[in-house]
Amino acid sequence: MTTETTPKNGSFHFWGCSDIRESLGLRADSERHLLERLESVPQESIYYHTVRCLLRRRVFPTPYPHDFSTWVANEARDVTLAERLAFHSPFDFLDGEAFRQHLLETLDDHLSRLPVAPAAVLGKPFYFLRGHLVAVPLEIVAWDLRSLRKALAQVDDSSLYYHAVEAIGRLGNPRGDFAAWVEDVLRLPSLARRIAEIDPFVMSLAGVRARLLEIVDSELALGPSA
Amino acid sequence: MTTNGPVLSAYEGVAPPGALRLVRYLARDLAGRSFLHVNSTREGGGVAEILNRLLPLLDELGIRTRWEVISGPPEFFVATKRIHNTLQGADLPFTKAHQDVFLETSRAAMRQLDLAADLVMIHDPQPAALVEARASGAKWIWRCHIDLSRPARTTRSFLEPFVRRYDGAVFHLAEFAWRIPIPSYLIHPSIDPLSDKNREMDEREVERRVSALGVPLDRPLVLQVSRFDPFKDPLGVIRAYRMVRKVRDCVLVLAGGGAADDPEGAEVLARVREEAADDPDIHVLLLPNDAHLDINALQRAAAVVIQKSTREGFGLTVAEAMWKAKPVVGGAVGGITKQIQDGVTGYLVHSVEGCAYAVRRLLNDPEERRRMGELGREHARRNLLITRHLADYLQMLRLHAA
Repeated sequence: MTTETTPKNGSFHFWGCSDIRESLGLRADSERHLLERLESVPQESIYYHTVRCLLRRRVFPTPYPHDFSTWVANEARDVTLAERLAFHSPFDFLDGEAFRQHLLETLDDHLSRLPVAPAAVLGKPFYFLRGHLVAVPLEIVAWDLRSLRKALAQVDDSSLYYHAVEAIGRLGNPRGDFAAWVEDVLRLPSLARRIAEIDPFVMSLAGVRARLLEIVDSELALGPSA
Repeated sequence: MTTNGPVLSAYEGVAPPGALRLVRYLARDLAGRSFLHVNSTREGGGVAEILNRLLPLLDELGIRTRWEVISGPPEFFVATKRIHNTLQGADLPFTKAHQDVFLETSRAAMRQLDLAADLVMIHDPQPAALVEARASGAKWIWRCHIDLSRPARTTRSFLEPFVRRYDGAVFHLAEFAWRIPIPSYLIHPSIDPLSDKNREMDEREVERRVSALGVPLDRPLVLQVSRFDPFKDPLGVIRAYRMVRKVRDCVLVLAGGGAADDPEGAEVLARVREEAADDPDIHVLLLPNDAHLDINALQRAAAVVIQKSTREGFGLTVAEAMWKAKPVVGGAVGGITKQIQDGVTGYLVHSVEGCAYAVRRLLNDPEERRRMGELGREHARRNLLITRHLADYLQMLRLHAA
């Protein structure tokens, strides 16, 4: 998959995306079982449960950033492990396998300190999924800061996800598309830095949109820009 | 197919921004394909309701859609209801006689129905055996709308060989998906914000319709809308209401209709009426299947909406209530747990007492009702509308049509 946000004329082309979920038929009933499954599930499933899950978090943030920490807290009732799993996102690691290793080591270390592995005794098991994502050109284009602001207010939530999150994970753009375009095309490095600092893992997509608009509005209020 | 239903452009400004563009893009490669749906009733229940709204939209997108309905003698629907109940965990016998009438009716339907299409979606267990008549080259998908998390072994063993013959299966939730060697997709059902059941309605119309049903509006209204089915726990709702009534004056409405494929509804309704007989503030309404506007009015008039199911495929009445900005108290089962964000858009409950406490709390706090209702409406807009459902179907079809 490629991103086409910065074609030759330098304008920003918005894309949206749609994701359909597929069950892998695998489940975990306890933290020990979760560890064992994490050793072998496809990388795309770990990506789904830690990154793609943000695409479904559209209106309100959840207490924990990804599906593993949420399950451990809500179903296995182990808040300590949930906190330990919550802090890092896959983007803090060189690649998906390094992140898998981090999850395994955290689980292993936690379980080694407990006499019994917590389980979803009264809660629901964890079900492993993967997603099939299709990117869609929205035919919405920005060419300066004002048109970017206008587009950010009107595009679908999935477009914010695609450019701010998926761009980092699958498309290999560590700054995210918005910050990269603002820096490389509009030549506004300070604004780009503030955009890149938005952390989608601790907010909803509605929150990401609100923060983007706030930052762009403050830049526009400073006077003539790109 | 005749397209006298909704048109896509009507959802502009109602669906989330960008949703229609997404749908149109996804449909481009599927134009001209034929897409057949088969279920067991044209009226009553969530499946028929969704198909009535979804198919005209697929048609508008250039996909040639058709809808066939499997029919049979009353014994067939007794057998399919037994399949339905035992797949949802009821401890009832699924006998050889049930199996025979199911297979016999299925074979007759294979001869009677026109099953030719590029893509065939079979809804629920009733027509599941029709897959034996699939033509080569056609892609068949089994779409299951019920809670399969605790199926009776006999029934599953009977049904699973048919399911394995499909190219893919669709379940509402991961916990319902069987471990079978075909792709198992997860797609939530949806509501149509423009249908009679969900369209905007002014206060005067709400008052007029609710009053015409004999329901007073001088006290807070607590409502459950659902078929009269043991899994919807209407008797549990009455018990919870009686607990609330001890501390708060309110009115309970249990409203629902029947479905052509549900022979048990009358028995449950009789038990509910008997239980409610001595209380003039409990209103048990058996509404016709086309009473969508009355349901709409009741949901808008309600202070709190309950869906206290003990098993639930998805529970679209939750989404309907959320769309009308109502806080919802729902049983923590099946798809209800995917719709209600506990403590944010309503409350998930596990008992009669939990239900009573949540209703009491909400009746006591109008600000919490307002806040939860608004968040629920936005959640429904982004996740539970027909436009999202359409995009999911199109994407799945693209995967199989490639």
